[in-house]
Amino acid sequence: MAENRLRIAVTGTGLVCPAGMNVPTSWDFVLSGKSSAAKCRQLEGLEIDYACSLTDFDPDKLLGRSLARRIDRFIQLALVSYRQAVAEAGLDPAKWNGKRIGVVVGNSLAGIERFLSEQHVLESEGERMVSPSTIPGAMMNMVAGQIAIDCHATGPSLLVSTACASGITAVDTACNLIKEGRCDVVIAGATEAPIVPLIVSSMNRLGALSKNSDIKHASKPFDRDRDGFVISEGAGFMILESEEHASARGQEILALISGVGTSTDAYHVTTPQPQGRGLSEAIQQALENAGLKGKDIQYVNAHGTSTPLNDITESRVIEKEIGRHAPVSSLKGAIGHTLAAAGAVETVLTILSVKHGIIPPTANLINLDPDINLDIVFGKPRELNIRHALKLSMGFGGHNGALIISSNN
Amino acid sequence: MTVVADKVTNILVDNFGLNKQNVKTNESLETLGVDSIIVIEIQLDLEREFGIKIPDGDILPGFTVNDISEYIHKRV
Repeated sequence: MAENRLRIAVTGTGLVCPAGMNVPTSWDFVLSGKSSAAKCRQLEGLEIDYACSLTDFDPDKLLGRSLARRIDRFIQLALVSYRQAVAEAGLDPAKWNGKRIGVVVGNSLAGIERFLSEQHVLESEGERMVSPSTIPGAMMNMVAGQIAIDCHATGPSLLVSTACASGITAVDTACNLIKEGRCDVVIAGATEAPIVPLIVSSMNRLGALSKNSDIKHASKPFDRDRDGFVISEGAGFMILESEEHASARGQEILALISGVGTSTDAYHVTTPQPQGRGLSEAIQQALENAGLKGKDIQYVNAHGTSTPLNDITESRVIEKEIGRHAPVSSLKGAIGHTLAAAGAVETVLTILSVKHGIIPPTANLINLDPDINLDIVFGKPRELNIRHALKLSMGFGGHNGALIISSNN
Repeated sequence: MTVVADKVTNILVDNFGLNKQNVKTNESLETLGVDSIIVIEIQLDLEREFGIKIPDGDILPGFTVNDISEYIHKRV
């Protein structure tokens, strides 16, 4: 079995998340082991009135008032993030052949903030005052459409939606477009802007959110006292191209996507299959895809939501499919759960772990759950030469995604 | 009239990112890159700013800032 048969190059990355407004600041933040959770003005009066939100994000300044006011926040976040990725990849949309450029974006909740605000206009000012931009500014696919318009990418553009596994599904779909020869370059990522009272209340009613009044320590993946996740927002994007295409244009390859696996539990809408069979299947596919064994993985960036059920189920699957040798960490203690964007945001940061040989600590983990038999990294970053890292995501609906990110060295 | 024109100009420039110089030289909305969706958005902003109702279709893509100001001036 040939190793690294997939070998899709990542040449650019972009991030807009509570850890930072770009990749370098976000990386520094997650290495610090701090949490970005804070009280949110828009959640005032709710039982859960905190989140990991982007307090410094100024869409008018970053995108111009005309565009910013006509699109929902999830599209705003994506536009800012994808532009960073294109710039890092050394690509100039004014010069590229748009027909060979694809766009694949993951999202789950569409423009919920925009829909709700226009519902308010409908009720308070009447039908004729509803904005004609409501639909084009909030429908799910429009994030891919807006990116395509912004950079004249006239190849395939589409939206994928597998809840919190959407980011990995986007990367998987993008890799396939490249492997099939349909695109030279694909802009792949995911975005979510869920911090509105309706979504936070609904997540709370599901029992998914932490109720910890110690806000800065509420999201604590793998800790024995974890009680749920802290909701978050953000977007993460990557520029993917074949290794040959990147090499031909002399572009630095940040890392390689060398294996992808996806599966579905077909068990329950929100609860993972108790033995984590679906996640096991996804990991097995990704390893086979890459021509690797569990022992070849040096680092696992876990989904690690900080919910009691996710972390124990995921830990057992990692122990079974990878073993105890590989250090594991979760970024959600630092940045919360960005839902559909999580797989993309965390993949970008895992690429940096592979590139720099540093594993960020699992923020807020103090007392490791005694039922978790893994080498969880916490307290401080750990230096480690990483040849192959595994990124995992699991989503409502039973979606599972596993991605193997390999060093280019 | 000047007050109305200034307010209309501010809406076009601040809310829709149109070039102030081009707006002031009385170029049409269409020429300034405004599409049919944005025309309605402009109409809604004008209604809110001046407290009037503007029937759909009254503000046309071919209107300039002077045309809009004259229209508003007659209605307020």
